Amino acid sequence: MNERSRYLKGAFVAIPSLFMLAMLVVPALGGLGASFNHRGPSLENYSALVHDPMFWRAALDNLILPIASLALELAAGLGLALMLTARGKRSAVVEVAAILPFAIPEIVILTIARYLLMPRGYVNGALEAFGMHGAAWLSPRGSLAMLSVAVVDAWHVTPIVMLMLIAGLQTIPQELYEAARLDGAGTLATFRHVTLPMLAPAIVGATVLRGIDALRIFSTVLVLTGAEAVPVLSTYAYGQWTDAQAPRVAMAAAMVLAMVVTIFALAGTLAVRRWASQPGASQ
Amino acid sequence: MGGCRQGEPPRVALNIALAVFPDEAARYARFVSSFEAAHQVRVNIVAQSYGDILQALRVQAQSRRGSLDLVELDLAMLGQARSGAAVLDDLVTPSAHSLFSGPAWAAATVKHHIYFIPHRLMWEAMIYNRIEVPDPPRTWDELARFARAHPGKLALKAARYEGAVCDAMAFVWSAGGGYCDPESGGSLRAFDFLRSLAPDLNDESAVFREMSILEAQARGTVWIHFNWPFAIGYLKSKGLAPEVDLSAPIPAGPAGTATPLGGGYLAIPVSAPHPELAREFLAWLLTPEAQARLSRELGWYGSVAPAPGSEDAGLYAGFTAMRDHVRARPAVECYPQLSNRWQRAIRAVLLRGKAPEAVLGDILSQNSGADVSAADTPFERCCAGLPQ
Repeated sequence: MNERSRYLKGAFVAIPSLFMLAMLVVPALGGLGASFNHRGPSLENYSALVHDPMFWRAALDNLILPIASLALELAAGLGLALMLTARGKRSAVVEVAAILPFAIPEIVILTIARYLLMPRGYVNGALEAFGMHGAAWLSPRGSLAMLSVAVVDAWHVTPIVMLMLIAGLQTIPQELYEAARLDGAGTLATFRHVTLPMLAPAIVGATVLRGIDALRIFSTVLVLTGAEAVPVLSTYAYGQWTDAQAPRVAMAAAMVLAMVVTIFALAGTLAVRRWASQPGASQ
Repeated sequence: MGGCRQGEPPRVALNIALAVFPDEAARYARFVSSFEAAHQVRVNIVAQSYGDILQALRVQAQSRRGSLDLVELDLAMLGQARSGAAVLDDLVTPSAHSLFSGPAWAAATVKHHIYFIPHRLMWEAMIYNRIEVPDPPRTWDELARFARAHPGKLALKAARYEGAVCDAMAFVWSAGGGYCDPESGGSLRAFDFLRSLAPDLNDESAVFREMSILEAQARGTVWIHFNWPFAIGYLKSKGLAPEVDLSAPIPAGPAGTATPLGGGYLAIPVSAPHPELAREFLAWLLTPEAQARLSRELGWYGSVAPAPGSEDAGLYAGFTAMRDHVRARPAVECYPQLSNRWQRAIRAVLLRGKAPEAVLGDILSQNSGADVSAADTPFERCCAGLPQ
């Protein structure tokens, strides 16, 4: 490597590093400092969080919602991935339809979902056309709103899970399926004893990646139900910043969310590494 | 090119940060064109949100330099903005004073000095579906009867934000209570009344804000709610006003009727680059002619009501009727904290059925729940010197 390419390499590392420092690390440290500042160093902002029932609701929802959303995404993503990789059944129309929700801008898909689920929306209209009663899909009272948010969130990002699982499915050697067939294994047994174990690294990867993303859920909740019906930590922090004009409390809430995401990300990364290091875990 | 410009007088630019939408900014630009022509200046309109404008004012005040000559601030922010704004006492001549009501000037005044000039004042009125509600309720009793007869058709803005206070405070004032007097008989009567309405309120009241409650009214899900004048413009644009929806006065309580004053005020930042020119602009704005044009050309009826007999006079009849009943929110630095305490109390009564005495008592307590600022500024100090 000559001197010029060494400089070039250094520049390629330095420029994004400086960008990250200026745009991510410095503001994050500023936020961390602000969260502990209340006319001097203090835990007052965190104490305010602890005493606010809405914060605890947001924290709880911030656990339930990602779990529900992730479960739906994995189930639907796996189903779609299996369908699209099944031999002789691939259809360009189905592939495009499966990927489309992820390709549509988030605000558009959320607005569509809102029009579908609002009290006089298309879903209730369809139900009533069949003689059934409409439901309060987004009502702040009851738990339907939580389910609606989880379904819409899953609908939007299932394609990314599906693509990850398709990539995983395509790495499974066909010989294994042939051997299973020769041994007389049926579809379910093949799925259970061949597909699922071989797909596990991809499932774990998708769970970690989407789990981190799901913990940071924000716009889906805000557009569908408003900040109060299904509060999560990000909307809680947003509300503290904008409505309550309490920026330091907002910073404290954001730090709690960042901590939760970091812990989950570290645990997920460790799980993936441990899985990968196990004999026979990878190809 | 350069030669062509040599003979022109130097063009100074006056930068005004306004909380307007792009189409409003274009109409406002046309409105100020006569000032530009008369003063040989260019007026740059910077469209921003109120929150960002307040932040910009603070930064400009701290750094002692900046490019903003005038800023528009939400009435609820005036107390916080005061330290970054210049005193404007001399601009408010008796004729200028007569353009706006006493509460409008009260909100602009801090410690006997005027720091803000009313720009586009507004207040709430009742929006009702005239087909479903041919006789809109005029008193609390009639409103309560309507709520009981039509469960879910009355809605309040009860999301955790300032709008919840605006809706509820109309009732508190109408019963003789006040921001700084939560434990008075009036405040208690108002909260008792709100609690009696709670079971029949629209379910989504817990999350309703200005726009979402208006959409519910437009869909016909809600038949009565309280909102700002923009609601009528929205309903008109949908072909619903005056055919389906109209405005009416807010139902009167035991102490009469009342409505919260809202809207934007203009201030000159302490480090504005062209303070004299900014003052000239405000002086121009505080003429009856400019106010008449604001009413006519922009539909801002803060000073001049819609012309009698005009279409707007019918559409905004409820707002015009409330003109003499506006009440200002306190222009104190700790207003957000005061508002946060009231918000919690309102939601506790409306959504969780808590006892009014208890939640109103909590407003006074020093360290109630999430209100960090409660520790910042004790209630008594926040309300010191303010009318009860």
